[in-house]
Formats: sequence, structure tokens, C-alpha cells
Amino acid sequence: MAFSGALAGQDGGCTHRFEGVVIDQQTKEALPVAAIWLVGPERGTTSDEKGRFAIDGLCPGTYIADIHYLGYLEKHVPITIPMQKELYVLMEQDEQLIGEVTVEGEAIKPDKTQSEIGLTEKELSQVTGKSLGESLQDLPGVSSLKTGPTISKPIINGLHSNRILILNNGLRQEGQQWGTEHAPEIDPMMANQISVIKGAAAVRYGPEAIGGIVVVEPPALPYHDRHLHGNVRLMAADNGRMGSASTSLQGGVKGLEAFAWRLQTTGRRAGDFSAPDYMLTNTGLRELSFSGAVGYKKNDWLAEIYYSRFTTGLGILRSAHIGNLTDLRAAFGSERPLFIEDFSYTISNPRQEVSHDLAKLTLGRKGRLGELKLIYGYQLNVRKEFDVRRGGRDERPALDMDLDTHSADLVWQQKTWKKLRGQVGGSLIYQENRNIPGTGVEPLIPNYNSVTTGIFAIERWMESRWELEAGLRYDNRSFQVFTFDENNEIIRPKYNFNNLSGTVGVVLKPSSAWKLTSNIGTGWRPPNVNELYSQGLHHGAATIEEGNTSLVTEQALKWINQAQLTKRRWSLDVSVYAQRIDNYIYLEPKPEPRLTIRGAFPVYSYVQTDVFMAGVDATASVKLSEQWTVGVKGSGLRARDVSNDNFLIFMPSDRLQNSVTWSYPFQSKKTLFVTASHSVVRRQNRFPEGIDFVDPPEGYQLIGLDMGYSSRLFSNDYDLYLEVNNVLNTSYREYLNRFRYYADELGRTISLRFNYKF
Amino acid sequence: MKTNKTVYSIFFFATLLLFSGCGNDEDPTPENEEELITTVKLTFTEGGSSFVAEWKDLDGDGANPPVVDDITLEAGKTYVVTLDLLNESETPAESITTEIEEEDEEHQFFFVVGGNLALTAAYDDEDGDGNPVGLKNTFTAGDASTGTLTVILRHEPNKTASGVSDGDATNAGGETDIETVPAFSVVIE
Repeated sequence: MAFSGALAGQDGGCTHRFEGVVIDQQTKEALPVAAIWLVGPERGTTSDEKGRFAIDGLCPGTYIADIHYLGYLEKHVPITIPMQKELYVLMEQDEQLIGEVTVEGEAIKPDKTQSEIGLTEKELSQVTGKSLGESLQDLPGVSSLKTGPTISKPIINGLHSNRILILNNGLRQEGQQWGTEHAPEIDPMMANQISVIKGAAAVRYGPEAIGGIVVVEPPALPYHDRHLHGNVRLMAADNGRMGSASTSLQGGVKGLEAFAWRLQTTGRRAGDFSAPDYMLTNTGLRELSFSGAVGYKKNDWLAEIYYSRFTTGLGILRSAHIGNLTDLRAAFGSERPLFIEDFSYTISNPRQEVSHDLAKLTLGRKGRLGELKLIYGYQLNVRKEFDVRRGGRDERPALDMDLDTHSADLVWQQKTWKKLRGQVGGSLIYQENRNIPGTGVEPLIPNYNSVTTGIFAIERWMESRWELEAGLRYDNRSFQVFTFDENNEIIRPKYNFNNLSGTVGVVLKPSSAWKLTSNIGTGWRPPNVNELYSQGLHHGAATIEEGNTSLVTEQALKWINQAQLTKRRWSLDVSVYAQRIDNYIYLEPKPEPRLTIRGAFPVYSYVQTDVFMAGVDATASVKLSEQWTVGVKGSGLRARDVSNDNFLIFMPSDRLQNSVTWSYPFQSKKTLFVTASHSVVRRQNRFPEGIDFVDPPEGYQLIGLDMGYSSRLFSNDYDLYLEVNNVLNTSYREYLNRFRYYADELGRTISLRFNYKF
Repeated sequence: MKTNKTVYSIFFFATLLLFSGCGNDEDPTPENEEELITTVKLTFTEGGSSFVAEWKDLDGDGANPPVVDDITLEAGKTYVVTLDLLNESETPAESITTEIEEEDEEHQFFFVVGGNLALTAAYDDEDGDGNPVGLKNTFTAGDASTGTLTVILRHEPNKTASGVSDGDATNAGGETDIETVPAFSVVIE
């Protein structure tokens, strides 16, 4: 292939050829259909069956060649045209993509055709000490459903709880997620990446992934690494006198190259938080979590065991515990919460004690036809809620539930054939919910056993400038409920639901600066047991909630498009979506309140309607100079109850954040930056009249300040961050906080963080 | 792939394990609503005679409406009024009054008079801190009139807040354990 480089070089004509071979670094096998892109001439091609590629008609000069191959780390190679010889590109497998991320054993990074945003390892280190919900709430399109300062659940494009899915190290997190005051039992510090997928993703993940998915991924195990690595993350904040410490250690095993391990633990502690004008009495928290993993990977075999445990104790704002509607009105009418005491770390009733154990076993085998993976998961969620009670019953939980979940997934990841790649799999989930007797309170939801089975296939056609993906899934969920009828006789009704889901998506890369995705997908959700059978008083909301045993499946269709631009000083990311949900389940007030000895209570029952939602999430930033960057991000959502021509309750209001960053242009690896931000949250004027007792609160504006410094210590990286939230100590209330009836949001909070990675 | 066989067998083994683990503990154990109060019983004593007025809701949070007695008082007379709280959903009926007596610092009754009723209520008992409880009271009937009487029991009120020890619940806070809605209808003759 020696060509007339010298001659062409002399006349400087654009007749030169750039050629080479793309090879797997470990196996030395050729990689077909790798994408090669020359930055400068803006020319691209793909490698052939033997990994070879060539681009002709190039002018002399120095360019960067970008080489992409799915599941491998990207390569950026500087080349000079004319070339003396062909280029050998050794591609390194991206363990992150190939290894553990594999949700249900998937080697393709999840949902590339769906709109996706997330937090990288660096961004996660800036939110050390926050809960999962709080960590994600600043991402455009993601908000947080709160119950006081410590309980926070992610909302994706207006949907939350049972309408989104959280993947905890590849397993569907199975807790009592139907409860709006039940936060996900996950330590975000165990992850080195958290992504939010905003499309309906039922095909990959089964029922309930209507609004989107939060993927919490721990790092891949460090096979073939002889060194000990780890990190330490410390955090302290003045508000709540909060402290958090997290550490992880990982490495290989000397002499046993095929083995790798990791240990990780996090502790968090806070006392009563404070609003600008008063203490939020009884809002402390205690949290301790642990995870460990051991793996074996040799030749074509893989075996990994993972275990994690999360425990938390959470205080519930004392003033939010009320007896009836009169109390609620009195609480709302009062400027200040009715209980205000001095700061304390003590957590009194009402409080929650929750633990979540998760064990996962992965077995994998690579062969000529691809890779086969079997994943078994076990989760035990224990939830105890303690109420303010009479007669010395404070130490007896008023709600005491165990949820056991077994799951098995078998996935065949096909070997790429021509430009086609895909996966086929099946899953089985068995679940038991049990109320532990002895609470002296009628259970909120009954005992049940549930079995969910599903089979799916997803195929993807990959061209260098575009990819097309399509998938199908069939699911069945059957469950049996064990409860009492009105005559106190045991009844054991059975339910059975079937569903076929589909998805089609496309990725377009018209040039290296642009990436466009479009995905249309269906999702479904059988009614949850609480919606069918809940019966009784909901403390804190002063409402009686009634289940409805005739509910049918919720059906959703979501179309989401994302455009991403990265060009010189510009970066832009816009998602536009529209979603229709048929048989959307919600609580509707009944006309007559119920009279009980505790007073009059409004009664709500679960009913269904059809809804339509559409919205935009966007971020943009421009680097004005070496030192200055300005950015803006925001989201807007419109949601309608189509059948009743009304608005939907508890939808996030429009919000916008502007920021200015100044960074010091160090010549070394050091970084220093200061960011000032201004957020505007509008009042939610689109709410259904007469459902909530109190109208949505006014809009608000907040100022934030962030400073960061990174450098090296003992030849390892460390970061220092100083964060000031609500700089002006503004008193405000947020519509999506269920305790907005009782108290203001947090006042000024100064947090200091230190991360060290070795 | 001959190893498929191995993997499949592991899969089925796991599935088997999964179902063998399930016990027969599905059927729920009935819970006694221990803190349920179904009945507020007011005993009016004047001179040698006494009568009882009850406010009763036997199904707790259930949909059946409460049953309320009417009260007739004589103008100008003073009554000693004692309260008894019962859980009549259990047999025999359980008295909740003892629980209130044991935790008297954490409880207080309020008597709200509505309409034109000329009735004044005064506490006639106190807790360990010297604050009123309201299990024993003196009701004074004024001129002939009609109106309503609502009995409120607050758990963990702030007894030292302004007006609370005089029987005004406005600043008391705490949560309502009892609020007799609909109220007793009272006639003073």
C-alpha cells in the first residue's frame, strides 16, 4: 500500500490517502464497522470486515482522527498527512460499557436512541452528601418530589414513584415506591455514574418504566489491575449540622489475575434543618450503607457477586403531624410551624426506619454467537414508620412491612452480524409483600404475592452516521392479594395483566458536532396494590384514601427527541417530548367529607382518566473566553387531563437557571473555578381547582454560589468544593414539597466538600 | 454453544430455589385498632340526679355516620360533667380514659359552644404540672337558649400557650384526637 506520498507532498495537492486497521487491543481481532472521523477535513468512513479503512483525497496537514467503536473507549489520534505508513488503531474495551452497566445483561449502552442526561463521576463528587433525589434535581427535566428536607424522590418529565424505574446496579429497585413519602433506598455514592433516561423504556425494563429510568451504576470491577485504588469523599454543611463520609477501595488479587474486588461504605448524619426564620424541628437523618463486590473473569467466563445494604432513620417534621382538616387549616394559617424547638440531632416520632438489602449474582459466558448472561437478584425492603401515639406505643411501628423480591434475567447478547446487533432475553420477578402483625393499626396496603414474567428482543442496525433500533416485549404480571372484606372475612382476589410493548428509535450524526436522537416507545403499568386496596386515613395529608378494585392498566406512549451540539465554544442539549397516558390513575376528591370521631375528613378515591403531557428541557453554554463561561438551563411542562378538560395536580412548574463561571487558566492539571447562578421558579398556575386544600405557593428566585479547586496531593487527584445555596436566605415554598402546608424551604446552606482519589 | 446447557440448568435451578422459598404466611392477621376511640360519653350530674349524653361512631374511619344524643339542661343550674372515652369496637368495650389519665400532661379537652347557647364550661381537674385536662368540669347553664357543643381532644398541645388553660384551642397546636362533628345539640330550658 505504499503510495506516492512524497510526490503528493511536493505539490501540496489534495490527493493523499489516510488508511489503517482497527484492532481490539486485547484479543488482536479486527473490528469491523468502527467509525473513523477526521476532524478538520470533516471526512469519515467505517472499517470493513477486516477492520481496514481508507479516506482518499486529503490535503497535507495535521489532523485529529476520532475512532469510535461501540463498547470501546473513544480514540483521538493526531495524524500528519501525508502519512508514511498505515495507522494501527488499538481499541481498548470500555469496561464501563461492556461490564456492569449491562442492565439485564446488555452490552449496548442503555437506550442510546433515547434522550439521556446524567451525572459523571466528577459531577457526583460535587454533590457528595446529598440523597439520590437531591443529586438529580438540578438536571433539566428532572425535579424532586419532597416531603420535608430529607425525603426526596426523582420526578422525570412530571412523572414519579411507580411511573419511573430506578436501576440499582442493573436491578430494578424494589421498595415501597408507591408512597410519595418513600424515598429511594439507594446511596448515590456507590455509583460513579448516574444517568436519567427520559423515554418510555418498557421494552428493555418491563412494566412501570413509563416516564423514564434512573440508572445508578457502580464502577466496573478492576480486573487485571494489580494496584489498590479507592477514594474518600467528605462533606460538611452548616444547615442541619450535617456531615457525610464515604470511601471505597478496590483492586485485583495478587497471583490471581482473574479476580477483582471492591468495598464501599457511606455514612450520613444530620440534625434539625432550618428555614430562614425558624428550626424545622424533627427533620434529622441517620444513614449508613455498605456495598461489596467480588468478581472472576477469565477467558470467556464471568462470575460476579454483589451485595449492598442501605439503612436510614428519618425524622418527619413534627408540625406536619396533624389530626384532622381543622388542624391542617390551622397549620397553614399559621405564619410559623406550631412546633419549634432548639436544634437537636434527636430523631423523634413521627419517623421512618428503612433498610434495603440487595444481592446480585451474575454469570456470563462468551461464545461464537455472542454472550449469554444470567443475573439473579434478591432484594429485601424493610419499612417501619413510627407515629405519635397514645399509651406508650411510640416504640411500636404504626406501619411495618417487608417486601421480598427475587428476580432472574437471562439475556443473549448477539455477536454483531454485518451491521446488525441485538439482544434477546427473558425475565422473571417474584415478589411478596407482608405486613408484620402487632402494629395495632390497620395496614395501609394488604399482603400480596406477585409474579412478573417478560420476554423481549431488541435489534439495532448501525451505520457510521446513523443507527436504527427497534424492539418488542411481552409481559405478564399476576398477583394475589390477601386481605379482609367488610365482614372481616379473609378474601384472596387474583389479578392478571398482559401487555405487548414496542419501541423504535434512531440516532443521527450528520457531522461530528451534532447528535440527534428520536425515540417513540410504549410503556405500561398495571394498577398498584395501594391503588386497588388502600383504605384509611393518610396522616400528614388529613385525607381518607380509598382504593378502587376495578382499575385497569395504564398505557403510555412517549415520543422524545434530543439534539446535542458540541462545536468550538458552543454546547447545546435540547429535548422535546410529548406523551399520552391512557387510564392514568389519580386521586379524585369525593363531594362529601367523612365524619369520624377525629373530625371531618375529605375522601379521595382512585379513578382513571386520559392525560396528555408535552414539554421541553434544555441546556446551553458558551465559552466566552479562556476564563469566562455562561450557561442557561431550563424546563417547561404542560400536562392536561384530556377526558375532564382539566389540569393535572403536582406537576413541576417552569424553571430556568442562569450561571456565570470564571475559571483560572492554569497551565498544569490544576483547576479553579467560581460559579454564580440565579434560578427562577415560576408559580404553578396550571392546577386543578378544588383538589388540593391550599393553592400552589408563589414563585421564587434563588442565588447560588459554587467554588471548586482541584490539584494533586501525593501524586493523586483531590478536589475541594464550597457550595452556598440560597445565598440571600430567602423564605419560599415549593409546590412539589408535600410539607409546603407547614413550613418554608431551607434557608442559606453552606457546604464544604473534599474528595481524594487514589 | 454447549455451555448453554450449563447456564440453562443454573437458570432453572435458580428459579426452583426462588419458589421453594415461599411460605404460607400470606393470610393477614387482623389488627386491633388499639387507639381507636368510638365513643365520647358525657355524664352530667346535678344535685342527686345525673344523665349521660353519648357521641358514637362505631366503625371508626368507615363510612357509617356517627350517632349523637341531644342534651337538655335546666337554666341557671350548675352541672358536674365527667368524660369517659370508649373503644366499643372491642368486646368488652375498652376504656381509653385511663390512657388519658396516665398521659394527662399530653392531653387536653376543649368545649366549643356554638349558636346562642348560654353555656360556660370550666375545668375542674389538673395534670401533674397544674394545667387543666378536662376529664372533670363544671358546666353552668345560663338563660334558656339553644345551640351546639363540640368536644375536642388534643394530643400534645402547648398547654402554656396564650388562652389554652382557659379552654381556648386556638393556640394549642398538637393534633386532634377527637372532634365531635356533628356537634351535640343542646337546649337550655
